[in-house]
Amino acid sequence: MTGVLPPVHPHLARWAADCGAGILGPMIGAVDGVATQQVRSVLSAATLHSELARSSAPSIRGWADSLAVAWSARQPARYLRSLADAVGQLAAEIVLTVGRVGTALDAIENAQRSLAGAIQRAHAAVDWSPGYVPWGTPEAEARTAAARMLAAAADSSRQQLIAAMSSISGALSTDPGASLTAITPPTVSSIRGSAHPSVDFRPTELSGAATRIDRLARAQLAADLHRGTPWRRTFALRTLAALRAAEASGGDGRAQLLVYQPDAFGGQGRVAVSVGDVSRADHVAILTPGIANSPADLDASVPTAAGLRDAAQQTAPGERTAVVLWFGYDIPVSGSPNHTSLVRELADLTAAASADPATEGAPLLVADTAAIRTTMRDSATLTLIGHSMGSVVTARAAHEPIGADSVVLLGSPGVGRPDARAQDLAGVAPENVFVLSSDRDPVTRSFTDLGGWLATGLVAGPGGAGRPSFGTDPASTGFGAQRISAPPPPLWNPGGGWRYSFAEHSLGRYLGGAGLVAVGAVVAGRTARVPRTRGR
Amino acid sequence: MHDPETGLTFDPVVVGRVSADLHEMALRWLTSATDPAATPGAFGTDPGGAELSSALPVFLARTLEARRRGSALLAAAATAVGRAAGTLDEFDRAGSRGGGPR
Repeated sequence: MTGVLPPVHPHLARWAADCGAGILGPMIGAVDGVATQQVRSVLSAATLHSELARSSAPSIRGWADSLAVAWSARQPARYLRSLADAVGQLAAEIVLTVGRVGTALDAIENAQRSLAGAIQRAHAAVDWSPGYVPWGTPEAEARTAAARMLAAAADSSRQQLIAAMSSISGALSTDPGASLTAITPPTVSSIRGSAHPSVDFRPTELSGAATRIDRLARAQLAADLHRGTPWRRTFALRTLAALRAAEASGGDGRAQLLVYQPDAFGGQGRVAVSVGDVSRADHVAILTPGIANSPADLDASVPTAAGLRDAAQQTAPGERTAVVLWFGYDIPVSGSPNHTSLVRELADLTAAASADPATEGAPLLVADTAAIRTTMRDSATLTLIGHSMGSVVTARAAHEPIGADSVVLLGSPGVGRPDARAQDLAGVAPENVFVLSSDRDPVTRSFTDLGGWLATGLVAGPGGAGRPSFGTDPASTGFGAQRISAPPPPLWNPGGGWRYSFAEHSLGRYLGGAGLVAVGAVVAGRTARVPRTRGR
Repeated sequence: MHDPETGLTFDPVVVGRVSADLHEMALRWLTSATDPAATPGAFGTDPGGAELSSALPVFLARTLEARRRGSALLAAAATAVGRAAGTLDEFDRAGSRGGGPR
């Protein structure tokens, strides 16, 4: 007896036996013998194990996802996914068993409470203190009735106990860790032997005829992931990381691969990824970066594109915007692996000081824009945005009938042609050509051309110096563009003496604060809201 | 980085971090595990109760064993991942660096 039930008066127990009601002692003792709280405390230890397993499974699965992107070996990710599944199953099995046992213990405690009440009622019904009561008297009849009531209650409680314990027996016979026993740890050789990558690649995740370009590009990406050369696999993994970053950046959670050419420009590659669904957007922007950007690191620019998308959507609530990161031209200082000699490195640096990359890249932007146009809705607006060297590419492309609704040139060193005017741009109306140039950004000032003039002369000899460089400053009054008035907040300058700072040239400065809001308004087609100022 | 012998490519920063995290989780699985508590007579002294009283610690021992196996699996994964990455890293340091088309 564990003391859960009150003790039965000995005269009551004896009377029950004498009157044929039953032997109360064993029946009540079986019900009273289960220490439910002790069992519960034991189960709580198992519950701690299940909580550890439950909280671990998502982490293990996350690491598997990371390795699937970061490693072309199939084995580590596959193994960790199996382990995550098994660990999750372990947690579920323990929880199931503890739950089943807990429910049975509830039933046992109910039976114990019910029997305790019956004992108290039997004690209260009759005075059990006299040791002898003659048969046939009213007192004897009352004792018999009380004893039979208690015996019936004890039998009922015992039946409940048997059913509950049968359930517990079934629950405890399981092995919650069975799922783990089927897991075999990977070996170094098994990882090194799994040269074919296993990447969760879902080429059909984007539906609709408008995404044909995306599907073709992703098919090439998948081929590189599974059968490409080491370099192409690396490039494919980096591109996949950018796609996933774009999908995870909020908005409609969609991304599209619109250009994918790993071997372009001697290994630099060409990639364009949209942050948002181009085929469903009301507004599409194509953002071309400046020097020192690599297609292999495109994922680092996703937050910038997402910020621009958000700014546009805040300007025009209810209208969807997609921003395409176009890393599609031979970007100087991109860290391309083909720059294996000093001569190539020098040529790459020199290219950064001339408009040659823009001249050669503009036709590519024209062609890619035309292809992207085919995936867009007819009513969608298109804005071309270029930063630094990218603005030169954009301006050169806008000289062609590219069909843009707006063009935005950020931190532009020039439009790639001397004596150019906004009205000469065949691809956009002059009132929709916008320029954002900080007066403190040295790249936008005329001495950048002087630097380019000297650099080209240094490499190519006296004959090379003096080549036309970046052309007309689009922020000049003569060019005739809409100059955006959105000064970025002043940089902290302890000396306070320098007028110019290259820190002012960063894309983050131009697409931050008031600049971001203004460019977002252009992308959203709300050009009337863009604050303007006079040209230089 | 890539290993020209096997054709594997990987990001050593991510792989190293995953290996370290796996090690840490393996340790967490191993430590602070509770031994099965003794439960003599928890289900009473009836034949059925006595049977259950012995089944309860068996169940708890199984969960503990699962925890130990989970720890061993995590540690094995961490070691294999770390060693494989280290091996590949040696290839890279030995001058087998790959790159794009020349």
